[in-house]
Amino acid sequence: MNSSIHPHLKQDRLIASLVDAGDLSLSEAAHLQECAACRADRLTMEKEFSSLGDLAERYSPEPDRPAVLHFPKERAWVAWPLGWKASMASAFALLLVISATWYFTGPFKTPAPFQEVANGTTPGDQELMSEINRLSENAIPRSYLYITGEYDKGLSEDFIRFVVPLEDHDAISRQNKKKGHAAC
Amino acid sequence: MEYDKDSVSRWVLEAVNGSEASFHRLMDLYYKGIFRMIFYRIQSKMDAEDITQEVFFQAYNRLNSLQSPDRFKSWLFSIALNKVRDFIRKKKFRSLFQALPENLDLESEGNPGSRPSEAHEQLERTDFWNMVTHMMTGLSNKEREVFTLRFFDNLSIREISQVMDKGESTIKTFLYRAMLKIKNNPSLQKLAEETMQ
Repeated sequence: MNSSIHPHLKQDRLIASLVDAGDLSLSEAAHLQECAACRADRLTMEKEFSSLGDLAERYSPEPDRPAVLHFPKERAWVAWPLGWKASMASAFALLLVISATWYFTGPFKTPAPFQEVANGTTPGDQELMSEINRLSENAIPRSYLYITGEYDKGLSEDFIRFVVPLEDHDAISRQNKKKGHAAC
Repeated sequence: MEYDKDSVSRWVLEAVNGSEASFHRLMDLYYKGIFRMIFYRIQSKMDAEDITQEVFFQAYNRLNSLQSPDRFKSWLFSIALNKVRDFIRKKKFRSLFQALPENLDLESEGNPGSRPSEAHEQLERTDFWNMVTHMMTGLSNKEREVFTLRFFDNLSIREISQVMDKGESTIKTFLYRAMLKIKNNPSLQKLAEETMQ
């Protein structure tokens, strides 16, 4: 086929041939094969597009890191901001402080055994109850306390004498008891 | 360095069976390509290096999901593409809360104390990427992606269809449209002239 029969390929057809040469019709393909001008245009266009890749490579930096696979570290469930050794030591120290506080401080004393708590009794309660029972069993009637003089045992002798003075020491009372002596 | 397809397939099979040495051979082969592919899209060297590491780490962990050893390259590029999309999405989200200029790394790579030749190179680099960005402005996302994969990353139509999980005819259509739009952009001629010099 003579190239002069078929008109020169337009830009869009040349681009189509660059995308896929098989897209051209038979007559277009034949013309391209024979027409030097169309082939030159196609070659120029091809170089223009491929030059982009060359330029992009030229204007790109080279990677600094070598092509070695660095496995990223798995994210830990527990963060170790001080490193695991320091964190473990801190945790142990904290545990020690909490245990000491628990052991020595009243509110943190070891609770009574489960069974005693369930029964509502503790060793302290039992001791108190036995003391109450002992007192109630050995209680002395109040009248006996008067006889033995233990009823007012808590009051001092001076205090009682102040409140209720002895008759012998009170001159006015002594005079009042005499016959014919009138009170003022 | 180019390797024949059989060697690559053999290394892939060995890597699937647990050979770290074979995987490192594959990594040597594709490391720069993946790094550049990521850099073209995010324009940050540091981030590109991080993402490249992530790509190969993920590839190593998911080698068993690879359908065929022949598809290793496109599979690697599809992982990289997903990582880049994730990165851009996160960057956009972060930019809602902080007003940072785009392409920060590209601009800040120039050191005030650097030699004049380095400063000139830096200027050329920035110029080039600005022109590329301008050239791609009129393209849709799909057209831009297909064009970049074809002419910047040098993937074949078949590889692009595997990376983007689309039919070859669809890829050809996107590529044809993108090339038509870019061909009429004066930036392309300017860049081509620069290459010819």
